[in-house]
Amino acid sequence: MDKLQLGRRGFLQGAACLSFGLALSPYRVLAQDAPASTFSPSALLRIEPDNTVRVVMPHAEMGQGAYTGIAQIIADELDAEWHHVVAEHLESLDAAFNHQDWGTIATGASTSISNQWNNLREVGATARAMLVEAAAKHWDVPAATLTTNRSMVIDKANSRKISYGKLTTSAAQLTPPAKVTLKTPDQYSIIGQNVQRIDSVAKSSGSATFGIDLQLPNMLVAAIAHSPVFGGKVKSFDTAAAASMPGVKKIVEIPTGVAVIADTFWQAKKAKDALKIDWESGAFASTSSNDLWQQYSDLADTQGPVFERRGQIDFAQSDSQIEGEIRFPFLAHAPMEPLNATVQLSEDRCEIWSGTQLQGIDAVNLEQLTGIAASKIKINTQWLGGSFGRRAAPHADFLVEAVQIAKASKLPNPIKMIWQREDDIQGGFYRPMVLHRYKIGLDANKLPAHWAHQVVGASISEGTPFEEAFVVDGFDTLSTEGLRHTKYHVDNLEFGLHTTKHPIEVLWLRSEADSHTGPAVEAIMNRLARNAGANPIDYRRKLLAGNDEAHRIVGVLDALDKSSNWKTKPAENIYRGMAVHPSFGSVSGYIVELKKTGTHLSFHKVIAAMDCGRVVNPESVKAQIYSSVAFALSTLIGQKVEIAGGKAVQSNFHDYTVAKLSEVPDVEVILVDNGLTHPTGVGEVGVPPFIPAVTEAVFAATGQEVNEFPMNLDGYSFLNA
Amino acid sequence: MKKKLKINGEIQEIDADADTPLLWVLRDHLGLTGTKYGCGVMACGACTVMVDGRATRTCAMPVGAFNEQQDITTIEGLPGATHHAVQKAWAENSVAQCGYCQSGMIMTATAMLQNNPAPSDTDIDKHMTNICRCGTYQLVRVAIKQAAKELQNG
Ligand code: FES
Ligand code: FES
Repeated sequence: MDKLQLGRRGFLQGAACLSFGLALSPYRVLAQDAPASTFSPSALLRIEPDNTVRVVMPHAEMGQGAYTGIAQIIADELDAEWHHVVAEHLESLDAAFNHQDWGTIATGASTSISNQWNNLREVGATARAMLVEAAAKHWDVPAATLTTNRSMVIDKANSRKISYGKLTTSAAQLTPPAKVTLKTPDQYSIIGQNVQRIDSVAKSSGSATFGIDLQLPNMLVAAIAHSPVFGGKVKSFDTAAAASMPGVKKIVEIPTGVAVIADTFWQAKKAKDALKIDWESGAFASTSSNDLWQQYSDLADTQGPVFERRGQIDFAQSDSQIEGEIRFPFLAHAPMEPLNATVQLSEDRCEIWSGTQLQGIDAVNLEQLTGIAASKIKINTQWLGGSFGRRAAPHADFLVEAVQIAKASKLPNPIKMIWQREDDIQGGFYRPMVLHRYKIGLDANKLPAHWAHQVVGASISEGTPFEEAFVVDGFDTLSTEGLRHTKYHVDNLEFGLHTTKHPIEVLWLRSEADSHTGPAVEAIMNRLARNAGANPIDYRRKLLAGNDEAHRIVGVLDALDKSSNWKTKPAENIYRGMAVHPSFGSVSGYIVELKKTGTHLSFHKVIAAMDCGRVVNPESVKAQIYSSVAFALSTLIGQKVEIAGGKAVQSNFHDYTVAKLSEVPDVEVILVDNGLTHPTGVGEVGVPPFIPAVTEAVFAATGQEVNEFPMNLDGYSFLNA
Repeated sequence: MKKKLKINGEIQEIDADADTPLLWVLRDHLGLTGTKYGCGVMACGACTVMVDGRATRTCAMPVGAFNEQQDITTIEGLPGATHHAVQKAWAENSVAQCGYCQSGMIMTATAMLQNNPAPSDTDIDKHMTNICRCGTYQLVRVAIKQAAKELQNG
């Protein structure tokens, strides 16, 4: 997908300076250099004398399986013994770890495997070629007579072999070959295999340490009181009660609130709760969700600046029209591990321990904040306890807060800042609330011929270092992607975007704009197919026919069609819905069957089909589909952040709920091969179409059109609610 | 307040305010960070340990309410065949994604299987109320069933 090609200016310049600075800096030797006896033909790879193959991870592991997939790709070309491969967190800001398309160190947009595909294979193949060369020298035979298998170079003619570990010193002396031959797919032995996740044992024993688990000598812990009203500022505060509480070391004001630093988290939290803070709340203090929806609805009554046009809309030319509106609420990411960062700050050095997705951009933000050269900033990536986009913060907000606390405290101790769950659910950086309004004119065959559509919502990228990359022709594609360039054939269409502003920060959430455009477009398609009395798969096929760019979507539709009995009526009390959506270079679709028992609905069957190109680890792809289903289901049954008095109404997992084991259906996943030889996105692809597949099944069962989330069904219960 | 607790079979002396939740005593006073903070309001299960064999959420349970006669077991100290089978099933099925909820999941599953080595789907639904934001539930079910089978066979 080219939508994520970042521009040349902005933070990329910063990132370029960064790597330059590092190359010159003696500090670099502190960051992840390999001991002399290891063979490290690339910063990403170290082969050690004991045969350990260590992969330094260019991308963050937040659950999506990136570490395992990255290791599989390198190990395959290297012909490594899989059980000797270990993952190491990134601690360096070296350009060798850059995202291959973005020119900075970053994880996001479901690209961890796809962007590194060529790079990782070349790293593995280069190392392998050098090990073979070293063995050839050692035995004095031509390299071409040697083969490799499971971390061994094999000389078949002379019945001997030597382990990679024994060759590290000699291989390290060699010049890397200018060109290497990569394996053909039939030669893959680890790519495409269901190897166990590389982090599976550590994460099954409690021994994987996340950022929040970090313990350093003399470490203190900080808790923060944030403004309850969005955009509010501290007017004054009284520390009388808090300052004398046990363990309290310091109370400091930072731009976003007041922080208490204490020996332990509980002491910091208790003292924070004892602070008396007078907030300057500003005009937003009288705003509610209803006010915002009213404003959005009024805007949708008018034509927004047009970001896409085909033909000429004229509803007078249509036989009949269908109109509607779908509202998507603010959503908090709620990663399972609350946000946190540990900072050790001195005059000229800044060291961070945190689970973050944007190390390259974080460093630029921290350089600006501290005046400390990026070459003296070290970011120690940790396991990320989930993220869903929250830890990809364009202004590094949570790292900046932690550094501001450390800076204001003037303490030499490492300070671990921990957000409470409430700080997360109530703290903004939400998936924007978005209103979709549509009017569709149908031809005599009840196919769409005129499509007018307004999107209303706040911009994610405006005012961030990502603006240049994401704003195309004046429109933020983080508001429109998934609707823009729809593959459905409609002769005349006009899509407008109203960009709103409010003091609540917004941010990409898993699936980005597709989290609302996908469900909106597919809900419309379901409605149109229903209106035409058509099979929804065939109806979509008609609108995609003859479009070369849609062949993978059609492939997924075919797979869904084959897997079910669309042609036959479902059993009594079983109601179906389906949807399909392309995103992040891939395509996924679902068939959902609900069972109606009286007025209660529950899942009967869920089938998913996914085309994500070359599959590196099938079980890992399936796990992301299971994950997507649970994630999407949570938005259907339990998640919205409402605003009242300028504050977030919901605060924690009791009122911002996550779907539970008893609610989440088992999913049968079909991996569709449409002939792509490289991998495309996985982690975010499965979320968007699940939502409209469910709402269509709900319509079939209840006759109720779902136009807001979470669903609010009249006279019916769904799952545990 | 000084206090003695029996954690993972050993008596530990701690010094914490009586209202400090057991979770934070484990994490900040004893360095047992396998037990996680997810919500602080008993709504997610990330902080689950076993107290006398029962799965117990610790984020809102003040340490003052515990005594040294109680057996407190954390993920770091889980002994025995049940836990071994659970951990093995978890690892083999690559259940964990981000992994942050999994200590709590494993503690809850282990406690369930100790009392009920052959849980039905309904039993699993009823006991496994922990939140997993990564949505690993389908594989949690698979792993529990695998562990149960292993326990029954051997
Ligand atoms: S942290 Fe205890 S239940 Fe969530
Ligand atoms: S594995 Fe991430 S929250 Fe459960």
